[in-house]
Amino acid sequence: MGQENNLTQKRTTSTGGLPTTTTTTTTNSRNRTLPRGRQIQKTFNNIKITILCGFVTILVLRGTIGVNLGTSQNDAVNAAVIEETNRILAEIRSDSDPSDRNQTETFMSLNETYALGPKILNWDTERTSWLDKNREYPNFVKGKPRILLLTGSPPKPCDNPIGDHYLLKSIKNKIDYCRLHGIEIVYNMAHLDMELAGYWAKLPMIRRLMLSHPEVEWIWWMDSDAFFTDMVFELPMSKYKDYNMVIHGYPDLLFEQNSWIAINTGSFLFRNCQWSLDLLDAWAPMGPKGPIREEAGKILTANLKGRPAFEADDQSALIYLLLSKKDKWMEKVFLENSFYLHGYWAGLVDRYEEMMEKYHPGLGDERWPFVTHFVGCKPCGSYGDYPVERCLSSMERAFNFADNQVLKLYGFRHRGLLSPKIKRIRNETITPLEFVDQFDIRRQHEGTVEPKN
Amino acid sequence: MLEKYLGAQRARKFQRFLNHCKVTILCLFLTIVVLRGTIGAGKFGTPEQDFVDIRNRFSSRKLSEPHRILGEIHSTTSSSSRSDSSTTSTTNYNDFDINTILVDEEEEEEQGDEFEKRSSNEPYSLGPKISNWDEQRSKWIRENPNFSNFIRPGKPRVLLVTGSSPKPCENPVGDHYLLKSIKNKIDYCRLHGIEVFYNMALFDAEMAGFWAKLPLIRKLLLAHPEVEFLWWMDSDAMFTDMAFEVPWERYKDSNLVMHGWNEMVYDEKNWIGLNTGSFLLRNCQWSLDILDAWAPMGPKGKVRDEAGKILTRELKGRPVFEADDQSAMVYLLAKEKEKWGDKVYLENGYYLHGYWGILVDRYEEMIENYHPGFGDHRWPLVTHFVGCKPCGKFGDYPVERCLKQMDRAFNFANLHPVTYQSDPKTTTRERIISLQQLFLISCKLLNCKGNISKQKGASSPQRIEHKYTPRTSSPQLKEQKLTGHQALNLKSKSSQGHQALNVNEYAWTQQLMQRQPTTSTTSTTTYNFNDIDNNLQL
Repeated sequence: MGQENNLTQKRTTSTGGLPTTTTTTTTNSRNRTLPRGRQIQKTFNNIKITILCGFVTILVLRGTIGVNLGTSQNDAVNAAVIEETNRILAEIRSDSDPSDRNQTETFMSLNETYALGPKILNWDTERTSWLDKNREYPNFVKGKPRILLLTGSPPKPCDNPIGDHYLLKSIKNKIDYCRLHGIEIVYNMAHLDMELAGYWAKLPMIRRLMLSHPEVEWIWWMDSDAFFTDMVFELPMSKYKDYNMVIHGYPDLLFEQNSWIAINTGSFLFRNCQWSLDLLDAWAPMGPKGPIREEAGKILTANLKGRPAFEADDQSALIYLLLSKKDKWMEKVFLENSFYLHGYWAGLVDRYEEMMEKYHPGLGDERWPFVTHFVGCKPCGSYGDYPVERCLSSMERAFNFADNQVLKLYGFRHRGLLSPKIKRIRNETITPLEFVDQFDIRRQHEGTVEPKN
Repeated sequence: MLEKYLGAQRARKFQRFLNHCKVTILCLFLTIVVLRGTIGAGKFGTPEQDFVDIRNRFSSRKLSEPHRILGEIHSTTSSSSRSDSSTTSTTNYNDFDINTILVDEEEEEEQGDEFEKRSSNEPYSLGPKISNWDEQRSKWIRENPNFSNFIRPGKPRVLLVTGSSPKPCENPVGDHYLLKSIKNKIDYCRLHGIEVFYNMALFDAEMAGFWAKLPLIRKLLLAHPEVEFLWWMDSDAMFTDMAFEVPWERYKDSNLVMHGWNEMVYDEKNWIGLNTGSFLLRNCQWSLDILDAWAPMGPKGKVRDEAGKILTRELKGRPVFEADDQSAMVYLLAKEKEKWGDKVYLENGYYLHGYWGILVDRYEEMIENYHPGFGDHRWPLVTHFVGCKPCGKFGDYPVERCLKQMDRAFNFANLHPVTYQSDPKTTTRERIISLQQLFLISCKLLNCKGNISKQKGASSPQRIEHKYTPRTSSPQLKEQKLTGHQALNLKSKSSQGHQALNVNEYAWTQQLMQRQPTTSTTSTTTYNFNDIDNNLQL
């Protein structure tokens, strides 16, 4: 019986062994019909594990390839520095005085008339008497009149950094020309008169300089986007001895066509005299910001050919003044077009290589322009009227074209008109003075440079 | 299926084995990925590079544009290229990268430089040795009476030389401060009859960086024999006293005038015993000789590094970095005092160079108590923003402090009535306006809006400074970035953990403060404030 039991037991075990599959299948079948609770719990567990794994994956990926908004360590540092600089820039730009803000909010009404300053009636006599009393500050130096070059830029940083860089290059260019020709420079960075801001800012500045520098015979305004490209050329001042204003322009465009670009106020000369003060007073009324400037702009657009509609600018206002009061002013205004006192850049910059091959500095006209003026480029602002790449590469070319003329004395030139690097064109010698005699631009104009007192 | 071939148990084992393999492979893969991420796998790259590559591939459109622009520029001038570019280029300056147009024309470089001075085997020299410069020059001056070297008795012809890089600054505001700085120099020089030369050319690629002034100075001395004194000024130095005239008579027997102290240079051999940011050099044979003696430590590369080590060893307080022109001058003078010392004048009676750190906070006090014309601690002639480096990305000081103080110095300089052009003919209205503007400017100086740092309630200076720490991988690399200006704050920068320098950050500032001139015996140069309008009406 025991054996039977054993046998049965064995049988049961064997049958117990065999039906593992059957029991598992039965358990499986039983599992399939498990209550939903268990199933949900299992799914829940799976989800937990998935989330955990996903989290770990993200951590690892973040550590390895930095999928943290795509910034790496270096970029983070750069971004921090840039952010700091931008913040400071914004601070500087917005750093206007409360009094300025008050002034700009109150524009002059249409009924008020603007005056640059108290009316002066006897400037010529006052100036002559001052010159008599102060003989050590003559207005004519070695037969040439004393000239003061005036240029300027806004006191705040430009909207973009490239603008400041080209302002720097432009002032270096002017420093070079003026050193070679004994001209003094005043670089204005102040707002002298809040009402006449923008392109009108030159008017109060010119008046102020005239009054405070009686020894200066001519004041030469030059825009900050104009470059000297002929370092040898000198203004033929003897031609202007009967005139009080020299400006680049074309008589036919001015009188026959009434074109708004008949003259250019980017580069012009004013004699230091009563006539000039009067002209400035007559010129200024269209300038004050606000409704006056807007209304004036409409008048100018209506009267001048080709002028688009925008607020009054100094150039159009001057044209209008010269046209409407022709008899009063034109006899003392010299419209210069025999050389490029202002040279519109678009037709000039591509020809620099050709000029270097065929001609030589000193001509000042279309063969070798005196001044290349980058009208419309506006590198200090955000948007210009021309493609950026063209403007900047042209400005670089003009700068290097002029710089080559300066570096010639030292035996160098630029590697190319777009290259900041220079290369030697002359060996060093132990007798450098022979080259000084040959190449110094100042010595090409005999008896020119007078040491400034 | 497996059971058929292998039998049940073995099938199970096989399956288990497969599972194990799967897990192993998965783990192995994860390990490799993590290791690749942390230590990189050589040419197989890092995940970071992958990311960058993927990003580049998707943004490849942007890359092609500058290439196209470059291509257009390289093509010879033709109107067709002009019309092409106008249709595709932007008119927005903020989107533009200047480096796409600053190219060297390739044909020029390939031809080689016919006039290169010397082979790399010879020792460096600034140029062929000239031995009779004094005779050559005096002969030339006699033959050219229009270009005399003295404008009037006691007033030599001076050329102020300064400069900056021909490329735009890395820092967006850098160019604006360079512009302000040159305007400041133009103003001073116009008032004092000094000519200005602004250099943007690198004359010798081997002497780059702070050494670039040496070939430039030599070239200018030789090309301008009419110049009696050449005044070098760094681009980060500003004139703050427009009325002060340099006492030229004092230097009639000297050829080199620098700001410094005799004891600090000759006795202590302190590396900041003098400053080469603003100095006067006479145009003579002696100057050419000292330039030749000064130059050998300059050439880039091994020479400069080795020289740097010598200088650090020999000079007191000098940190470890490549040779700079200032330390080299101290070393030269200390070593060869008998040869050069009697013609070198170390001026400390006025601030021919004034370290900004001790001056800028005192401007208000100066306005209250003194007037322009002193040139010394009462109203400094020059405020030199050593270490600020507004043109670069990383300076030694917090950006904000540097820029704000530069603005203050600029406005302080403009306070001078002569530059402000108050003339006797101004009427009441104009005087009121100019007074108003004067008030506004003084208000700015006194920070009527409050000190920016105080107002913004910000950052303690330590925090700003920490944010501003330049990151480099090794201190040597970082120290090479330092220019010849005194490199302060090295202790804070060496947070990378390398040798902690013993330099107490502000020790030398304290030294300087102790050295402030007690009495100014230069009574000849002080002007009566009211006389300034009449005398210098330029």
